[in-house]
Amino acid sequence: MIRWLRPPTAERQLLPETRLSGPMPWMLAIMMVMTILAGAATLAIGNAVVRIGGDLERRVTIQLIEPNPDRLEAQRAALIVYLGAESAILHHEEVGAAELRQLLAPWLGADVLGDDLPVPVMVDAELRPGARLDVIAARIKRVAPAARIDNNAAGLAPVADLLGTIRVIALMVMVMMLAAIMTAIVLAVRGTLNTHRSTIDVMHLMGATDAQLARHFQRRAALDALFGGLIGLAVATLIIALLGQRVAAMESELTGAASLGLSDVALLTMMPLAAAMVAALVARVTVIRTLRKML
Amino acid sequence: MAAIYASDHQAASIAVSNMVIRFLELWIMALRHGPCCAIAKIMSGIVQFENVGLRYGTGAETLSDISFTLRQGGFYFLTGPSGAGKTSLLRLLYLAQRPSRGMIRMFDQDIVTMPRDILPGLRRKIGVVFQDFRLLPHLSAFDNVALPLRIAGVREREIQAPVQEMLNWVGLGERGAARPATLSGGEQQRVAIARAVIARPEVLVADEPTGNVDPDMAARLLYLFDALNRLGTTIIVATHDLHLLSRITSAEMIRIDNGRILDPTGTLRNPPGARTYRPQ
Repeated sequence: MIRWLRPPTAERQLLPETRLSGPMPWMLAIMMVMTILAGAATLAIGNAVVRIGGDLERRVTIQLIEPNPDRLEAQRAALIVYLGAESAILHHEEVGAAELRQLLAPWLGADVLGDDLPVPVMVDAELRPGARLDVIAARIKRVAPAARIDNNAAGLAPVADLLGTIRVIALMVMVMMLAAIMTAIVLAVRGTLNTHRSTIDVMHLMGATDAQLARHFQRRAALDALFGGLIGLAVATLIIALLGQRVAAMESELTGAASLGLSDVALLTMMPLAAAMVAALVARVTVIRTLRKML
Repeated sequence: MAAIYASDHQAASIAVSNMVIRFLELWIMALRHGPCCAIAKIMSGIVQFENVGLRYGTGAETLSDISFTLRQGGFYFLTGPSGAGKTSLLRLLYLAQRPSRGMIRMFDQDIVTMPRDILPGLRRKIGVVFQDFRLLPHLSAFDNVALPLRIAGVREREIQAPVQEMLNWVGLGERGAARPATLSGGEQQRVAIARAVIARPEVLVADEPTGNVDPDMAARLLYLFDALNRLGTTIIVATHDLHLLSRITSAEMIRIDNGRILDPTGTLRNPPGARTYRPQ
């Protein structure tokens, strides 16, 4: 691989050792930043969609709304006992009174929330994978008739739909950027072929094969794409790290779901290499197709 | 000249081995297909043109009804006035162009219908001296001369000595590192000639190879061609230089005018008033 990218000097010198064109690697770097960001968005949003569809779908919030404090306490106790005994419930956690008051304070005002105002009981629970929510809900209703069960996924369905759409758009942006990179390489290779037409003619007449000539161009295209790709990866990594910090600062479960795993990071890191390989292939095909028009 | 190929002994060995190989080929052919076939092979040429016509675009034919045979090991001068079609004929000979009509056979292969993938292999058997030299400006004189060997995949350590020797022979031993732009016209021409002969081609095509050099260097270069010819290379030289024509007594002449070969029979003949050329 290294020998292919860095052949002996004499072989490298057969064609002038200039880049495909001056600003080409930098243009590829800018395109690679956009491509890697679009790729990162696709992967992160994909992860979020999976989490909403998986973890959050199995989460329910049970509210007990009962004005009579005695009945409320009785149903709360029965509910906690039931949830502890139900095998379909993975775990449950009652939201504490202080936390509830904190949640309600912005809506009702801290002064209004005295001891005499009835505050509902709220319990978060997570179902085991495969558990049927309708069956569990019926059982809860039997032990706590005042219970109201909210499936978190139902509330987040529009958000999941939106994320799905954004993910498709990010994917399309990535594909378009890759197409733009390939087009730029084709144009650069054609320009270089025209610039060195007389040299190529002479080499052709001395018996150089299409593959021999194509090798020079594909090597240069690969090096330019690799250089641009690495610069692009570095810049994109900075941007992603900055975004990651901001998202972490929000401490939101929803935005936290849109994160990148190790495999995602590895995939994004491979993009410059993939771009170099695609560039080499595109350059080879372009050169050979152009040379085929010559004798 | 033999020094170009390392030593006199080596040059002689090459010549003898070529003759032996050719004899063996003919002997095997005679055994397989009969003596008539072997005789036909001897009589047939390395290059055959039959009713060849060449037209650029939709214009009139640049070359018309060109028919001739060049035998292996022959020395040929191609003469004619400017615009007669010499360069077009040479372009056909060094496989830069296919004809519009007619048949061309080179190295026993039909060039007209041959797939282009096979052409590079044949082109490596042909050395070309272009009229405008066509040296690669980004390469040194040394690298220009080494180009055919590098294209042919010769290992770098086997390139240095013969290329340096060839540069010495054309009087540019000290100028190997110079770029073509820094060389005079005559020096560029000598580099172009060195490049054309370095791989010891089977056919050498030269377009006005002595146009920019002094008479002494012209004689020296002609001696190089003659020596190559003695080693079995078929030489075709397009020239206006009458002195050049008279220096190779064994050479035959193709005269072309207005895109046609002038000899009524379409055959070749010795140049008139030939004098024996004696190398200095």
